[in-house]
Amino acid sequence: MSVLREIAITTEHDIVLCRRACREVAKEYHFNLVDQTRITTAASELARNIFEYAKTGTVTIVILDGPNGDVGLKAVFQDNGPGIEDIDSAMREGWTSHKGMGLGLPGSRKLVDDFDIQSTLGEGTTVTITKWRKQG
Amino acid sequence: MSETTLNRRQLSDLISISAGMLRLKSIEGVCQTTAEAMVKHSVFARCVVSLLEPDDTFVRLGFGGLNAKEISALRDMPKSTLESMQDQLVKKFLIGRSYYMPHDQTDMQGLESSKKAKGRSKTDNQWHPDDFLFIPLYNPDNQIIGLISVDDPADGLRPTEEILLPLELFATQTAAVLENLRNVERQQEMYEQLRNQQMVVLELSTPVIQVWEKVLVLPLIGSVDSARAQQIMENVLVKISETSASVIIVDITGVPVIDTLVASHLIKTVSAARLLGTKTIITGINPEVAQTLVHLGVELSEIATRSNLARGIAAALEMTGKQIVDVD
Repeated sequence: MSVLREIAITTEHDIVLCRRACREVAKEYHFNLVDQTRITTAASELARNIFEYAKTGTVTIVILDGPNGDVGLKAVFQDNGPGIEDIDSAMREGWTSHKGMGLGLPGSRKLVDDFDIQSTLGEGTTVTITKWRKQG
Repeated sequence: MSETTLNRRQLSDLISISAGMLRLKSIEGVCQTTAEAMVKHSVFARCVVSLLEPDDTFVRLGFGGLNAKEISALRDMPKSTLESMQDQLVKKFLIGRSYYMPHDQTDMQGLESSKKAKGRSKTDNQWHPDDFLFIPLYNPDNQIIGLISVDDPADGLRPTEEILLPLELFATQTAAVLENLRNVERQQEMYEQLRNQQMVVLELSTPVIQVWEKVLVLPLIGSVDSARAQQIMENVLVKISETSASVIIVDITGVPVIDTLVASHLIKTVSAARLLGTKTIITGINPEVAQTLVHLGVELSEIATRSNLARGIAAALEMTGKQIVDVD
């Protein structure tokens, strides 16, 4: 496992850089077009969450070598923002503390294979997503 | 007072003045403060601070120990250029970091010599009214950005390294403050430029095209962020009321990622257009984006969509009672 990209999120433009990096890595590791789009879209949602709620944070993209020669793209979205008070609510569709559609977190979860969210109030939030490459 | 006490006193005075200069906001102010400090805290009774402009001429900006008449006379004098100074700023005139040019070794014209100094007998270590002394201001690359010209020493003697040392230290501080101010200016200019360009790009990137009577097309290309989404919404609504269009086609072929932010802005734009009595057709949703939107849970069923722009235009024409037919 090696870190392929690390993107600091400080401005809205960094969201674009983050999703472009995700798309490039997904392309490089031969993910199919639909999955490239899914990864990129999830990255866009989660990077925007960092920018909207925590202002700054980092995104790390790594490639995982799974069993049977599987390849996974893992992206970690980490911030030191206010944290999420009620993760269960935040993961429910239509729930938003801001002006969004309330689909960012639950939607992103549906776009990827593994989704993990850790959050501590006042300390920050870490969201980890993984998408495994389809065989053949 | 002993000489060391005097030097220490002079140094501490100059240091506190240079610390105060950090608060100054204008380049001219720094030059003026420097000139006044030089006159007050050195043996020299007159001082002019000039800065090198981008066109390589020196502009006199700070004056110490000079009356208004002398200042205006100096301002009217032709500007010296870096090129015209090349013969003066040479190694043989160097004392410490400063250049001292005895009158008999140069034909320069500059600060008018003061009257009281005139007619003094000349000996080897005596200052002559037509002598020149420049303390240069250097940038971090060691290039000259300006000159502090001093004249009329109270002791009537030629300058020594000891006399010049504290003044050169002060000049270094002045140069640093000036460099700082110029950097701030440059940064502000760049920021302005960037902002202007951003505005231009925003304007350029959201054209609304009338393709037929009452039919508008908005081709979206590139990333949609919140500022651009706002601009798109405004452009669309203004254009709709200008043209009283009945259909607007938003083509998103060129938008790389449709996430919930872009989707929600599209939905808002559609709703706003509907309030003005205009129908919206979204075209250019490719198969990957369609699958992704469904997974995300974005509901677009309220909105008319077509796979590509051609079909969108055909549909729009139909809605306005027109039809595309083959010519026999």
